[in-house]
Amino acid sequence: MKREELIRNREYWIVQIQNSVYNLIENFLKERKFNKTQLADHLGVTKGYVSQMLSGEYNHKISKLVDLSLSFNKAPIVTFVDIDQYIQDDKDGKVSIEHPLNSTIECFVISSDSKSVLRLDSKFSEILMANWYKNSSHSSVSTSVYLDENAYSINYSQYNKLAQSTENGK
Amino acid sequence: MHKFVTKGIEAVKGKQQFKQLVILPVTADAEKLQREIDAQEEKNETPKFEDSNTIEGVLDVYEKSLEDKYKSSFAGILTYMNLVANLQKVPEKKFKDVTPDKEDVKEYEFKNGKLRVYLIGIPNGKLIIHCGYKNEQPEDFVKFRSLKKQYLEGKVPKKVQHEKRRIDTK
Repeated sequence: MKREELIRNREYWIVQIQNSVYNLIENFLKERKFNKTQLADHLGVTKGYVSQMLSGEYNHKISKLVDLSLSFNKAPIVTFVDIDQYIQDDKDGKVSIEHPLNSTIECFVISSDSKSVLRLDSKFSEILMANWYKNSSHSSVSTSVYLDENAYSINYSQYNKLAQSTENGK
Repeated sequence: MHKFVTKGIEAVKGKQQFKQLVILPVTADAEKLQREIDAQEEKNETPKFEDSNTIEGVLDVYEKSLEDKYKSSFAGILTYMNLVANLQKVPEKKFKDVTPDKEDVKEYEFKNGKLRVYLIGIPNGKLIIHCGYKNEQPEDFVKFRSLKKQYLEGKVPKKVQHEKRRIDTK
């Protein structure tokens, strides 16, 4: 099967969404240190339903997906894009497989003298990340921004490591 | 006994490389063919033999053999491969480590519906060795491990660098 054929296949998108739901639940379980029983109680569903979601077999109504999302304090943002453009962007390396439902959009900005770190608010982070997805490949990418006349460098691939070291340094 | 080369999987793209085994007769010039495959793939061409027949790997052959009712599950497996190739977490019911104790080279299994695909870990990726079905797993594991052994024994020792057994995740 060619890649374009796969991207045009309904199963590709069903699995992507099912996996997003799986990651949503896994992240919630980790954050809250819940087991499956506690999660089922929290959602008001059976353990079997929880197991089904955790095995990647979620395939319920849109209203159930919305209820689930809100139960986890998440907004289920759905975006439709032109598939021909998506396929072209995929060929050009401009598509990220990280679906907004399961990615944490956070950006840390380091000053040019590496002495300061700023944690950007989520809206600014979203704009920067959208810009990155649109214009860059997924190798290590950095760009510069100027805030209050100071130059800051953003390295998208390193932000997770920086986030950890910043937290540890506090 | 066989000789082996590897080729890419056009539908799978990500940070990790996914390849598939190509099983050749013992008389084949595997090194020459591997160079030709690598050169053609570098140019985004479909690897072909000198007689212009497409070089088919184990996954290609498997896909061709599938009845229509399994095509959707196959697309699902390719999608999970894409997710894993992009370092996304996926349910264990879809992709799991099946490495026996004390085995150096890691073994994995993808499953979706009645389909099963068996792989080993290679530097920066995975290599598909064998494919099968749910009700044939005992025989498939025997075949998989036999091919794995033949493939690894056929590699020149100084070029062999395998993904060593780790405690952390895939």
